[in-house]
Amino acid sequence: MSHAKLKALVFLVAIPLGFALAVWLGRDAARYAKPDKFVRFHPGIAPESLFYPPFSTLENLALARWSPGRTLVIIGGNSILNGVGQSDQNLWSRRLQEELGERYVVVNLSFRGALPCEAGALVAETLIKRGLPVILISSTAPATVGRVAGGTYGYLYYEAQAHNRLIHHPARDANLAAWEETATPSVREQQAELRRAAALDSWFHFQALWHHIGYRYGFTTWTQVTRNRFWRPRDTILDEGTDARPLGDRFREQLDAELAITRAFSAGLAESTGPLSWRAYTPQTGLTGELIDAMFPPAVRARTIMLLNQNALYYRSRLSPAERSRDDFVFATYEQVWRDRGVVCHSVGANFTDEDYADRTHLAPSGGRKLAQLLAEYIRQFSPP
Amino acid sequence: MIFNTYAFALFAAVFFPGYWLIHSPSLRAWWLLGGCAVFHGHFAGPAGVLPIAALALITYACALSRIRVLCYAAITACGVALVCFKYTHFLSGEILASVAPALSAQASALSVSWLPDAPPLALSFFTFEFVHYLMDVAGGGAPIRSPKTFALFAIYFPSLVAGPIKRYQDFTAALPRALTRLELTQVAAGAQRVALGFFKKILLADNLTVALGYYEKVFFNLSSPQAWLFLAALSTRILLDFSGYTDIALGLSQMLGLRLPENFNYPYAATGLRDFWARWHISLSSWIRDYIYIPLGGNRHGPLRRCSNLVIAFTLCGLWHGGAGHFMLWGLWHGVGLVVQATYRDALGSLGTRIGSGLDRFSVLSWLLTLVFVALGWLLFFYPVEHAWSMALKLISFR
Repeated sequence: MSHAKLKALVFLVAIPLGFALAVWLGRDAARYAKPDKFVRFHPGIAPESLFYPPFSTLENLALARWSPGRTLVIIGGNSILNGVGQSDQNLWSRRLQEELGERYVVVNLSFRGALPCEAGALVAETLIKRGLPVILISSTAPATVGRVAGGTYGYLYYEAQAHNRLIHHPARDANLAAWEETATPSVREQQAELRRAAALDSWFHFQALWHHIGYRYGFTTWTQVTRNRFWRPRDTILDEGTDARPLGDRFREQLDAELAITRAFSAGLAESTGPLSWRAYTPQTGLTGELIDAMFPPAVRARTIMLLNQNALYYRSRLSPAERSRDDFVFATYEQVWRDRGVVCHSVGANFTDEDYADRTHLAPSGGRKLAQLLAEYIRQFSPP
Repeated sequence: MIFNTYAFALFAAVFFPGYWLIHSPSLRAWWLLGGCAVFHGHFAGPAGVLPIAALALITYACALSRIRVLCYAAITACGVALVCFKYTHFLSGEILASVAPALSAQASALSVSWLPDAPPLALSFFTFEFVHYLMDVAGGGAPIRSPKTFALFAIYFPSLVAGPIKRYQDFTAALPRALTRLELTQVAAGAQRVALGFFKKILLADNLTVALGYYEKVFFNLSSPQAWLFLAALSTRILLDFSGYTDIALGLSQMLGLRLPENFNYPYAATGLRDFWARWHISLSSWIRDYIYIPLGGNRHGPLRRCSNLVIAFTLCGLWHGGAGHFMLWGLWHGVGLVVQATYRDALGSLGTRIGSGLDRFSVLSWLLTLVFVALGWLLFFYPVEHAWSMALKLISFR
């Protein structure tokens, strides 16, 4: 055999061997890899900086803290529960852990912009499937449920599904299939590509390996968040979340736009039937109910506390009496929609002060403390099956 | 890009081992054709396959007849298909709108209802390869008799999406050897080329794309050196992106035992625009030379005709990249640049001669001039005309 042929042979044999080694390392990473001293998914370790933590990482974060005899409190939801407006040290979920004490383990798996059925909810589902004592905390706006697939965090659903982590829930499969059928060809192909990625990942564990390398040794992608330090390992990118600005600077920026959003918050969900009297639009309540049924398997619903977030008092106090009454009606109605589906649901923020909000929706440290106290009470009262 | 999808990874994982394991040339050809059909069918979808299949059938039949009129009719069909699918929105929305807005609105509405949102995948490449084939056959070349060989030429997957534009004489000559003898060294070299392509495309070009996406929003707040750095990154990005893709295509083809024509040869080392086009997207520039510039008369009918031929050829080259005014102007920019390069020595008399000999002596200067010219041209390629103009003004005013 000539030297050139031998070189070619060595190279070609090295490809599958290298691949096998990567798979082996990826398998290991999928079992153990997770961020150190994890508090929350800040932008440096979240999709905002093109870092898409694999489902195995979320699972590992929860499992690493749990021990028998303790109840896992998994926090899902969006930027409100992620603690935008609170620094790492003043994060509300730290306060919640303090309030609840040793019997509970609080793990904040919320992401900015995530839907109540995404990310943390899927981790809770997988742990419930394993038979662990779990309570899911999530938050949303009235009438917002969304779907587990199709958004930024949809990849987590496909990964969880491909790794056979989810509870068999035909209503969810049917709902997603129906949604995909009406989607554009490019969206359908995008979803199919995510499914292929997840299926391949269940064999080869490349997501876990890639993100482990990105977290520990160096990242390759430039992002707006990491900019001139984009190559640095993500464990060196710290949580730079800050506490809310001084009260005087908080709410006046874009006042008109924020007020318009506050006014429109419940406008499409109820119609007037008389002075300060309202009737909910049934298509919306019906659709919300259907989505709750479809996206949350019954076992998860029974272990969920859903929070409906009120807008900041600063804006609500500027609403007309009719608008305020409509808001109250809508919140009460949608609390009931969730409860009718077996989910414990509470509106939060109605009695919070200006001081408690960082902006229209996010909580300042004092609001976080109040939320933690309130939630600790709900959790202690909560008696899942 | 199609090559960095999981769908392609799955396809490759099945297709390549199958191709290597099959030893019968005939069976291997069928396997290759099947793979190409699956690739095209999956990535183009039925709406993308049907027009190409129809054009391929017309092209094959007309070329087989060797009747020149039929070949030219088929060329017309290819041209009409290209214009309909790719340029109707441009013609009705941009050109017609400037002269007859009412008619333009009607035409746009009609095109929206009749045409798909996007033209069939790789329509431009198909059209150029079919036109080349038909013109060569009309000029006396031997047509491809075997439908299987023609189908392979038409939908050969490595070059299907972004070229290089193949010549049928080279392809049909190389194919039997590739199907008969596959060498280990070829496969290894191809795999290395694929790896290089992915490195250029994903690690470098895609990263630059993300960064450029951010900095283009704040371009007018950048300092002058930063703005020039932006332009350098923009120019680097397109080279890495396109040449990376080409490396993957060439590497994949080499892994099948078939060498495709090179498309890039250090284009930013060019010391003149003519030199640049001999190094950049070589298969396209040679196609334009052979099937537009030379048929128009090339440089055979005096300097004026030569200049107009250059401008026409490069304006069409610009339009080939996309149906929009800024692409056309990008082509025009290069066409005019080539005309200036070809004529300034004579047109400016002794001054031109002095400039010319100066540039010849200091080739670094001509290299720099070419690079800046090409880089400024990329602004027209990537941005709407007014925006590109404002960006260019900021750059050249050093503000």
